[in-house]
Amino acid sequence: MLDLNNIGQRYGKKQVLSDLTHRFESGVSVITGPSGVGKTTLLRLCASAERPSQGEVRWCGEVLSRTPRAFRAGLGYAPQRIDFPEDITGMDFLLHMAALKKIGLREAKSQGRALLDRLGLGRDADGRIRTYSGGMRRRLGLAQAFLGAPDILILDEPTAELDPQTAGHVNDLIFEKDAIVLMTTHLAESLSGRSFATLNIPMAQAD
Amino acid sequence: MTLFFESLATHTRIQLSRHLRSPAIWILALAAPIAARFMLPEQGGDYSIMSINSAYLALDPATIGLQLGVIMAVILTPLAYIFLRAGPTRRQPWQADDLTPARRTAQMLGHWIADTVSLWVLMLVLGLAGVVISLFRLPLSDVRPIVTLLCLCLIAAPALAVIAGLRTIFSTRRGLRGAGGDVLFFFVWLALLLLSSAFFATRSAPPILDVFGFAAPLAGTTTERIESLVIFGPASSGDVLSLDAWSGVMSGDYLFSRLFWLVSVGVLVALFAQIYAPHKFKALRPEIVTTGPPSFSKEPVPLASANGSLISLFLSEIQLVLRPRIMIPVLLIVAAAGVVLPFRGMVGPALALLLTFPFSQQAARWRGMEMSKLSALTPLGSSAVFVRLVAMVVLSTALCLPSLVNITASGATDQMLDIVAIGLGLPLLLTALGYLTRSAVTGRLIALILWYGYLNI
Repeated sequence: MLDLNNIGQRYGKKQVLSDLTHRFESGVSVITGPSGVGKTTLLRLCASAERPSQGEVRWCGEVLSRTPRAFRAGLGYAPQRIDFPEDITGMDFLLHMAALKKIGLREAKSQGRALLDRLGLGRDADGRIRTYSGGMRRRLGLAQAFLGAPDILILDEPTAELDPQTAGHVNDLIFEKDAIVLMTTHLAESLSGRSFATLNIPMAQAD
Repeated sequence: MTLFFESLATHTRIQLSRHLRSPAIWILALAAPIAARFMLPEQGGDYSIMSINSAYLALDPATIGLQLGVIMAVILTPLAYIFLRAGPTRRQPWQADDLTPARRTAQMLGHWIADTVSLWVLMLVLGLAGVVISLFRLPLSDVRPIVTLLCLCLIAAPALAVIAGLRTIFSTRRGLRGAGGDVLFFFVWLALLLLSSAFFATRSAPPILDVFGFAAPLAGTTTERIESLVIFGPASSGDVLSLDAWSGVMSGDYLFSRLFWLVSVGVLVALFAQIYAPHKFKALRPEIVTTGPPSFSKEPVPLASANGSLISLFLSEIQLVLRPRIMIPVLLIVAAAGVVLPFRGMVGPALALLLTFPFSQQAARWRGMEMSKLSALTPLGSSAVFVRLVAMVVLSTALCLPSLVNITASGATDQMLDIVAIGLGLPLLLTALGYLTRSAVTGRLIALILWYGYLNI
């Protein structure tokens, strides 16, 4: 489980989050709130990409900043934007990300291919990323987050830029995952009929 | 016409603000006074910045400006190009720019003017630092700030405008927006340097051929024949050579030539704007052959265990360096040729040139801001740069092995240094520059300049 204990984040004079306490357990948790409230900041804190200026994030009882290596071994993170290396293929990108996650080449190939097929990129796996549309890049970014056997998935707007049908397929993949899944979305209606927890960050949290 | 000027002003303002809002230009502006201190050493010191026929230049306000101008025109022009290609304006919002109804000429001229002005800001900071340093190098009564600044500006300002112009011109054509433009810039820069150097042999050449503007005032202001011009080196004889740099840069022919190049490069930018090729939104080659909507598999995704090691990452690095795959047979043929052909002058330069492009590309590929942060969150993220360096060193050293056999057999052990430079130095340089600058341009261009020097050993 992932615990937020009175966390807050400040950028200069701007307070983005303050005194937020919550426990994320297995299953999908959708983080909602108005734009600019700090949803992406919260995901970055949970992914250990940033340290909170106040409070602490705990992973299985351990303070996250003290156990990043063990935590990162089971982390799948898809940020909102990735500046992909444009001149390599989608499959090459996935294989390199798999190598960074200590996944052997054979397993990486079979899992990478399966992920691309699930996300509708199977036929484009050998196309260079520079030829990918915005939606295809979004799905490739998601695919790298699912590599390995992540215990925790942190997905920032996973269905943005996707048409409703594709968003449905992406949500199918997300919701069948047996892990702690944190995600933000502006398309809450695309999740109707699915079971998930919600953490709403009110605007009052921000200055 | 009013619309054209409004559009020109807008594009200039936007591009200039991108330069000025970035920390890069201000960091360079802070570094310029420190650099100026080393560009104007005390006479009789351990080194000289510029010596002609092994003699120091006698310092006066004009010579100080001239010396700074020559360094800018010769040494700093590639750095200026790198700043423009790899700096804050390296990514243009072309998706929006290409679709605006604004006149392409106004857009390109705006970019050129803004790039030129940003380089001139750096030039002026260097010039002002030179004026301050002249207080310590000259008797107080001899200090002439205007003379120093004018000499510097007359030499360097058009040269920098030409560099900014080349950058803008290259951005108008698809094949020149990437590595192709960097390679072409290297050859154009070299050709312009050689053209200027011709002045030292034929003193009667018109100053208009001296695009970088450093040769005509030097050649025209001394009666001595210039046999050698050394920048950054020891002044061996300790003699002092007096130049009338002021009259050199203020001659009518020279002033006309500087104005000519300033205007010409603007005209060239406007002409190239007419053949501007928009970026392609679609695939450059039909690599993606999908037709109809994407097909989504319903098969469950297998899990993969994290039982790999650094070896997997090492192999992945090697694979990515050797893209496109045509590189593999080409490198193998050149490496194998090392068994019979000499390393220095043939196999070495060929290997160095062939490895420069994939190494610089791979060193920068994973250094985008968001990509770096994402990689850092993976279990092997912190080791990735080291593994990349090791992979490149192993690859380049392996390619040098056939030549090593040849060198050992022939006893040409002096060429061992060449193997160390290509096997170890090249990957180290390109990995470091790619890591620090987050771009392939700097490494590529600096490696090309070093390569040219190596070719001429």
